[in-house]
Amino acid sequence: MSKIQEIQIATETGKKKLMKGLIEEALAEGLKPLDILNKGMIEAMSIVGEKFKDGEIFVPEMLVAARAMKEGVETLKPHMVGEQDTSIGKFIIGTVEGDLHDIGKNLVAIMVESSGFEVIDLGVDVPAEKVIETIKENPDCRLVGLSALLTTTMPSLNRVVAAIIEAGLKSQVKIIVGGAPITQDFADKVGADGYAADAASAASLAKEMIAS
Amino acid sequence: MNSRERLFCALNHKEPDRIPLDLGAGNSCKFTGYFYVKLLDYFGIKEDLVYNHIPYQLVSASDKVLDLLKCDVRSATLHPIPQRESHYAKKWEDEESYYLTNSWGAQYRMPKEQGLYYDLIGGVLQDAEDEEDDQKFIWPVPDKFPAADKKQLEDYQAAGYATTLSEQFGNGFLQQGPLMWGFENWFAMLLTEPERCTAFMDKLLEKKIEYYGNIFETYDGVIDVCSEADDFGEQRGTFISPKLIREMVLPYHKKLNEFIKSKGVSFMTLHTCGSVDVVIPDIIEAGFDCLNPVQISAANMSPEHLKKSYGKDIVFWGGGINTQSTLPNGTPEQVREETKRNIDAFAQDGGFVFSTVHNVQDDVPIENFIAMWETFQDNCKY
Repeated sequence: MSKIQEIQIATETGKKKLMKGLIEEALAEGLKPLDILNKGMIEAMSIVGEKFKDGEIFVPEMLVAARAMKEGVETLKPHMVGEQDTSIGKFIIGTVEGDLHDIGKNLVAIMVESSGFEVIDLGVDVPAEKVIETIKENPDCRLVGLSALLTTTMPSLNRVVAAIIEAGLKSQVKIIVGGAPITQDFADKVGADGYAADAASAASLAKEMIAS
Repeated sequence: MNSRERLFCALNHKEPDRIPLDLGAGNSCKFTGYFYVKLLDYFGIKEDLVYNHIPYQLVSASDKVLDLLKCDVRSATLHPIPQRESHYAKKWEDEESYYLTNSWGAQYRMPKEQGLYYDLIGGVLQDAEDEEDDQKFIWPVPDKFPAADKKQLEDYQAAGYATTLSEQFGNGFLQQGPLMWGFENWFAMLLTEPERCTAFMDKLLEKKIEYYGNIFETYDGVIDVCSEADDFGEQRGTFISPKLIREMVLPYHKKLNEFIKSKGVSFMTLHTCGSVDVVIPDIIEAGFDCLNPVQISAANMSPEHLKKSYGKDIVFWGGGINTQSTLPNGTPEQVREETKRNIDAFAQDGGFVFSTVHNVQDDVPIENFIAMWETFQDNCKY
């Protein structure tokens, strides 16, 4: 088994404690940091995402895999100095104003980050102005993810999407929405570009959207 | 047939004169404060609101309102006698929000402007790194209850109502951990350091048994149904693998159910949200008799499927109307149509207590609630 495969399996199965050693061994073998990141860890997380979508694994398995990757990225970081930006794009995320729930939003952030994006997490109870300000501050950002858990905060999600459109920023960013009561139909009605039912689907949708 | 006979008949999987109705009493069958005000206005009644669950902003519905709604179940109003001052409990506020920490050290915040609920913002063990850190947690001591409170439930039973206890000591065996270690830490720990989780759940079982021991010191013989709450599901499936639920979590429930039933309570309800289809046989095996809130909008949770697959072995206490879309956002006509459809799917051979899927929230239009209630009244007779 190649070192890359070993890293992939350790990531996929959440073997956080093995990551540092494996990555150091891979570097000692002369493997490029970027290959370790992309072919080892990001590829592993893409498999994790697929398995999660298919119901083969559950939230705990996804979390420990992401934590293993995080450990691996920490080990790689000093070796990536001088490399060009490795992120595949920026992703602004937040739970909309009035809603303080972040479990789902955080899982999306974890999976999107594990797919190679730089995540700008605005937290919970985020007003439309804050989202707009962040989009303007990051003119290279192409994606925004908005979450609402409650039926009572769905109108707030609607308002944030409307505010982004009104601010003329829809030509810059695409918007993905999600959360327990949210549906594709709701996403279409409010003018979002996409809906994702779970964290792994959000990550693959994000990748599709920047590729298109 | 009085309310109590009706409920028992349904819980024993037989058809009573009509489907029993629970709005306002059982676990997650209650009303939020703002909605209750709409209901009071509808009936033209003035009442002071009595909040019984601060984080969810739920109120106790009065007997007057429950009688107007023709509800069959009444819950105990607890007056806890604290056995020790909580190490963590406190309340405070700043310019923007109200805050509280409960006796488990879980911190909640509700924005002053347009705040709907107190939501979790932090747990007392979120930075704990090992078992030594975990052991620093100062456990709440289960409250006792005044002997005089028994009379309330005796009176309800004498008047022909069924009685329930809808409060618990802390949360469920799976669900309490996230409130202390944080969701991500706890769920990762279940895989990587299961011994820390089981050490906690062992102690939680011990404390819950102590709590129910105190309950039955006061309420011996007057509680018809008890309930525990432990959310296993999300919209698409279970949070953790069915194997972990089966092997790690439900054995604790089974032991607790055995204790509660040894005290003469014949029926135990499990409140568990989301898509829990795959573990319903295990829930039954753990000694639960009723399932709540029966989240019919989640995956694989259609009323027809649930009734056909598990209807002989578990009572559906909930599932009357989808509260994630139809009740708050549908038209009264859509509410009528869905209520009728769900009754048709669940009612046959008993085993059904009509209630909304979870508490009725602030955003539910009174017209929709009344449309649901009227449809129930028109279709509840066997």
